[in-house]
Amino acid sequence: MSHAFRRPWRYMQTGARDDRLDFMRGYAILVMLVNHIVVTHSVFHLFSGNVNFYISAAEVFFTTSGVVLGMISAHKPVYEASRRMLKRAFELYLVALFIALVFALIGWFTNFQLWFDARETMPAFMDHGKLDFILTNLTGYNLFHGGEILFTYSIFILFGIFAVWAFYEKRPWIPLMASALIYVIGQLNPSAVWLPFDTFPLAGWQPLFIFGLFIGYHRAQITTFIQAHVGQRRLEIAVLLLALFFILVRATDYALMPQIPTWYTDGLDMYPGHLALAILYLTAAFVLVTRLWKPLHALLGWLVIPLGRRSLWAFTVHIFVIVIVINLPGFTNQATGLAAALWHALAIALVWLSVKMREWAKASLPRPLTTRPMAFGSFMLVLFGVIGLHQITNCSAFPCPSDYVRIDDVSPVWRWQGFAPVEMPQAYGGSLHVAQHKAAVAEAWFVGTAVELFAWRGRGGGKAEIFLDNRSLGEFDFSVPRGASSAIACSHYMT
Amino acid sequence: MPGHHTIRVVSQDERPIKVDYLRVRQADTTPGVLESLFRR
Repeated sequence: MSHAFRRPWRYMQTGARDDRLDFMRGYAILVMLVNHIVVTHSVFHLFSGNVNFYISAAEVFFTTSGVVLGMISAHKPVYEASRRMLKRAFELYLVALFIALVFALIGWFTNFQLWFDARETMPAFMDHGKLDFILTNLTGYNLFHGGEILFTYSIFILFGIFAVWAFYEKRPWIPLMASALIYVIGQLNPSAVWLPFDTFPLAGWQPLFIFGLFIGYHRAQITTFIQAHVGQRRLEIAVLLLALFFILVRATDYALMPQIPTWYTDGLDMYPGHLALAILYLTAAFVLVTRLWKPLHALLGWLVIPLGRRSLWAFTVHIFVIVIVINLPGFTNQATGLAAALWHALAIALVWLSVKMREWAKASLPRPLTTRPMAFGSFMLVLFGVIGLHQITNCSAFPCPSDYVRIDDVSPVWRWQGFAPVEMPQAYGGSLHVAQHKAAVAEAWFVGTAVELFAWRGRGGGKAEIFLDNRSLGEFDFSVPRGASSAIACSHYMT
Repeated sequence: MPGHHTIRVVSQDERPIKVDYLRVRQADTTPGVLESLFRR
């Protein structure tokens, strides 16, 4: 009996690309789009999970990107693979800059509602003038509106170049150990590896990318090993059963394992439980897509595969589509029924059509600036030199005890009115003072020439007005759409 | 106290505000090269 006959729905690779990865990535684009355009009662949340499941689009993105880059790199000479990755990192950096600058301009000069409001997130940086603003964007310190996500990804790829060299030299344990070490440091002492573009903290999220890169690069060997020593079918069944078990746990509101929510309380993020569940569900999704390829492809392939193949384009356009849709007359977060579904359907259609139009127009587009490897290499070296210097001089990437002192919320210099110590401080990695009503006041005095206020930023965070020496610095928003961490809420240099 | 500054956080609605800590650069520190550029 033929293989295809016994497993009629199974994926059979025909071309150079693995369509399953494009399928998963395209699906992640849809999830992202639906979750980022907040329409509370939309039926589309049935497939997006509405950030209520163990994993969401970001985990799929970072991992599949690693797998794809690993697979491509394994079949190319190592210099060529490195050059391609450098080029990709540079492309991502340019797109990140483009996104941040365009939306900063839109935010400052129009009244459009943005995904992240420039008028709320920019003042602390704009205080220092236009040169500041441009330099802090160029160095990645102050990217926003999704640009910081691509910047994080471009840094992952730069790490990935070293990983690919180690794979090529048959020393895969070096990047794997380095990745594990950075992860552990990030878990034990987040500030030691904290970077300003922290929507997805680098230390916590990089294992997914490096893990994906490892799997992609050693795909053939891993498959052979599993078939010889574990049994592919047995492993697939075990993964699916385990995934099913945790779905039951979620469906019973964690009655079986009440500790699971604590794995997600803090976006210092990617606690080991979260990381393990991410790997489990990514593997389970891959198994399902492989086993049920024919029906899934017939049902959704036309929609998601083009998005997955052009994922950088689709990601960039999705940011513009968010702003377009939420500014359309009649849009409301509280839409219900058909109207709610139509807002999301419109957004998906716009991104999908843009991908199709790009495919159609691609032949006539000029070759991008990014085709000169030597120019790239030099530029990237200078650029990341500047970034390193900037991070060090701002004491953001590395602890600089000689320059900055930390004044914790338990210090007697603080005076609290309407704030109280947070319950379960261990869930936040230390104490915090929390207020949940209007006009609560936290005040501290200090001596120094610059100050940064660190506060918890997460979904549902409120707004506060911050004053320095009785002068208002503006209103600051403590909410972010996804993840949560202690981050700079406001910074100010005394001149 | 001479040279001291006061920072005050005033919540604007019922949603949670969780204050963690301040980082303060001491007065006798020379700014970094790029930071000098950044400052007007």
